[in-house]
Amino acid sequence: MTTRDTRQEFFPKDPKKTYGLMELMKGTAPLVGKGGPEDTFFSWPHLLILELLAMLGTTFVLILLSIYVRAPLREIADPDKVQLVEKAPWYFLNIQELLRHMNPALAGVIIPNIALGLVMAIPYIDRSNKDVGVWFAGTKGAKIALFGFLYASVMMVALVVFNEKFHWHGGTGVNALFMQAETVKGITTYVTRFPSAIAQDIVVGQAIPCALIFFLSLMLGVGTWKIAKANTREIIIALFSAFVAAYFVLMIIGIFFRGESFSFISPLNLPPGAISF
Amino acid sequence: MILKPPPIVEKMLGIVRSSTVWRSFWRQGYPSNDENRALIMFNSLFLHLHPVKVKGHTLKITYTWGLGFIAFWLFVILTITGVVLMFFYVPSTTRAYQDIQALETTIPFGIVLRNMHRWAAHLMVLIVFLHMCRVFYTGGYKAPREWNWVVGVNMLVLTSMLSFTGYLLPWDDLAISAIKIGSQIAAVTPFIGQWVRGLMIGATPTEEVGQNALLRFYVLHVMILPIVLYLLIFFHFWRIRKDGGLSLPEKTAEEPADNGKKVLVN
Repeated sequence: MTTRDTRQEFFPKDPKKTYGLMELMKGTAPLVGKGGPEDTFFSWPHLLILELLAMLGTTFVLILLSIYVRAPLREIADPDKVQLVEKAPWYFLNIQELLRHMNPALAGVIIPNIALGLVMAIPYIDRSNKDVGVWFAGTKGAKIALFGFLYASVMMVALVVFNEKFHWHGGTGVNALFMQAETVKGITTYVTRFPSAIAQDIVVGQAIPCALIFFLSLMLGVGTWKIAKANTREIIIALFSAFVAAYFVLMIIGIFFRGESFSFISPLNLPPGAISF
Repeated sequence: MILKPPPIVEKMLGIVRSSTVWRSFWRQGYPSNDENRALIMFNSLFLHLHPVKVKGHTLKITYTWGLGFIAFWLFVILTITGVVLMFFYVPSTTRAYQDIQALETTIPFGIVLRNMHRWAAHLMVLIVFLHMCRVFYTGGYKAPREWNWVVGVNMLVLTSMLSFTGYLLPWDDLAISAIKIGSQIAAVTPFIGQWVRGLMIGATPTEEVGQNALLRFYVLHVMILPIVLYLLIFFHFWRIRKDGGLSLPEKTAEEPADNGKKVLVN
């Protein structure tokens, strides 16, 4: 008996067919895309129907909103008039909130641009190709994202409340930490330690905010790296979540907790026109 | 129950569909079979940005939430409503406010038109931001899509600039306070602050926001920024195709077919 005959017992040849199964072997099949069972769908109709639904849904919601909610139109502009509440549109209120707490160039120009630059640099920092298409790169990443979000939210609220509500020796917020007693003719008053407004701006307006942002980000990054044993992607998830949290928390404070001349007040006491949309 | 059209109607439809005019317009039959489904994607200008087939994973609503498409559609709505609004608006400090009032009171559906433009603009800023978050959290920025991520972040900046320039146009209290804050921020740009402020509102350092600022914001809002954003949108879409469609989990993308098991060959 030859080998050929043995094989024919397993795969008997069908005389009606011009082809047959020869043998089984190990190896990579030359399949297009090597995707196993194909997981592709025709764009028509599967994708286009979703796009159509998105278009109709968006248009429907928008028309409904536009029928029932009126776009604001205040009094005619007068550049010389002093307004009680001066606010930027809501998506820039986070920057306006930053302006309350630090040097204007830092808050209005430098920090937003650095933040944007860092966001744009993400793909060049996280070079791994793992976990593409997986939300939060898995459950661990989701937990890290949540932690980063909560961490920055708590920090932002705490810092804003401290800078607005901490009063000591006649100073407020960070400035209160730099008050010193001065006794003139037996009367003690508290004055700032800084020799000049420029020195005060350099310390309170620039150095302290920069140091705080740097160390709070560093703590988050190193914390997720060392304690949660996170990889580059997960560290960036933590930092990006912190950025998103800071963006929204500062914005919400700007919208609902800022009244006359951007003073810090409860949303219940907002003056008319304080919500700028 | 599906109503079947009477034979005369079917016959007339057949004549129309086989006419030269119809066939010059629709180069393939109704996409009810695979060949026509592929052909319509090649033949149609509006559809050819799509691939003929897409991966099942990218069709999941919970994967993309359709945010990118919704942002694009809002921009189309904004373009249409914006062009109509241009018929009723003159960017002059003496006319702008009255034009908006007239739009709300005397022009049929003018108020709905303005509301739609306003709310779509706000929604678009929010949706574009959420789209960025979606792409980030699903790792969609990774190679080979790095550059499209960079372009996308710039599109977010452009979207907020478009929204901000439009904010000034009604020339009301809300507009003026926003532009005042904006010009104050521009003025504190290190080294070139006064120059940036001057470029933005067309005023000397002692001058206040006025006609020049309104005209500049108007031209930016209706001309320059939309053109740039449309160019970036189509680059963004083209680049999605060039980078192999939407991002996918590795398993779906290139799982080896054999998995170490025996496979049939020949």
